[in-house]
Amino acid sequence: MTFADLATSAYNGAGRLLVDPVNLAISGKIVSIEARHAAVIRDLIRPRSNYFAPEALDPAREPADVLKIASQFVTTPINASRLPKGTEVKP
Amino acid sequence: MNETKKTIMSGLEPAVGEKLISRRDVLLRAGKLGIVALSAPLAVGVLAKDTFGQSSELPQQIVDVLNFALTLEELESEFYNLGSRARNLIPRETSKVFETLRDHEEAHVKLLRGVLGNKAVVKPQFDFTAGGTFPDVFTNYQTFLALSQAFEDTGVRAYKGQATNLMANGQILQTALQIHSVEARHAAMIRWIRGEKEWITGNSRGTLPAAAQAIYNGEENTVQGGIDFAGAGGTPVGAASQTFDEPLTRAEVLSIVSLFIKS
Repeated sequence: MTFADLATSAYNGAGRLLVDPVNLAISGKIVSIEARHAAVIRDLIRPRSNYFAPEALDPAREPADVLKIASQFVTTPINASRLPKGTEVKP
Repeated sequence: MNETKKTIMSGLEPAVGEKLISRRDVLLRAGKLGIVALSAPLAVGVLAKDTFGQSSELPQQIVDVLNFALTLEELESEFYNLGSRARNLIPRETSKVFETLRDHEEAHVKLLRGVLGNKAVVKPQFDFTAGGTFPDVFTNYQTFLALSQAFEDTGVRAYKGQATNLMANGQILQTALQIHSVEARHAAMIRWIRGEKEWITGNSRGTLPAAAQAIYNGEENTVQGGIDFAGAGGTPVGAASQTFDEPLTRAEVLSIVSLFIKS
């Protein structure tokens, strides 16, 4: 559940950082599968509750925030400091 | 198609909206603004203008996409509202699930209306029997479930198809993505309740009636970024299609949901 939720929030947060529509389209095809996974695992934990989708809007995380969480499970150091940040992307 | 419907349709665009900010963020900001007594969905609506700016400044393409999304959310919202009010329809075992769906779709409606302001389309009139095709939609739980799956799977594909049309506004795109993945959670949950796999295999509509086939056409695609995943590295064709959800165009979505729109 942690991984599927984290992946969903990572794709949601990275979408606006993508400049090529092709990549945005492909990431959109993957993120909904991650969200489907997350929902099922959550329902196994707390069946038939609101736990499968606890919010009306799923979280969106910036790469650095995703890595902070993921690093608990990854021994190889990963650095996202060269990736753009959402706040740098002006509409 | 009558005149009224034509007018509504022409104002719509593909892509269901996905939305915003986490509830925690909303509540935090609502607190700062002194909005303490509002429910989260309402606070989202109030804050939408603050977050996204005046709707008059939004490019027409984005307005069209958001209105398209709004129409789908209105459809889902009314569907779950009527369903949860119908007597002896939803068993107690799943009532919490459908309350959740109802609340989410309501929140999405409020959010989109908040962003669109006076550019929002009027709420359509719906006919969930689809002209008598599903006469027992609110008296037969299985029919209700089938339509729920149809709407959720359609919603996921609709938002997905519009993401690239929202790239001009990063905040709105992100919000749409945040709605999109929630719709995917909904879809998985309903499929799970119906005993279907939570994701889509090939273009299979499973146990849904033939009328629902258009919702699944194109899901059989296995080529992503020019690479055919079917058979690649021993990946079975079924898994290659399950691994990716596919978009629908605005026209495809409208053709599906128009069965349920009276005007």
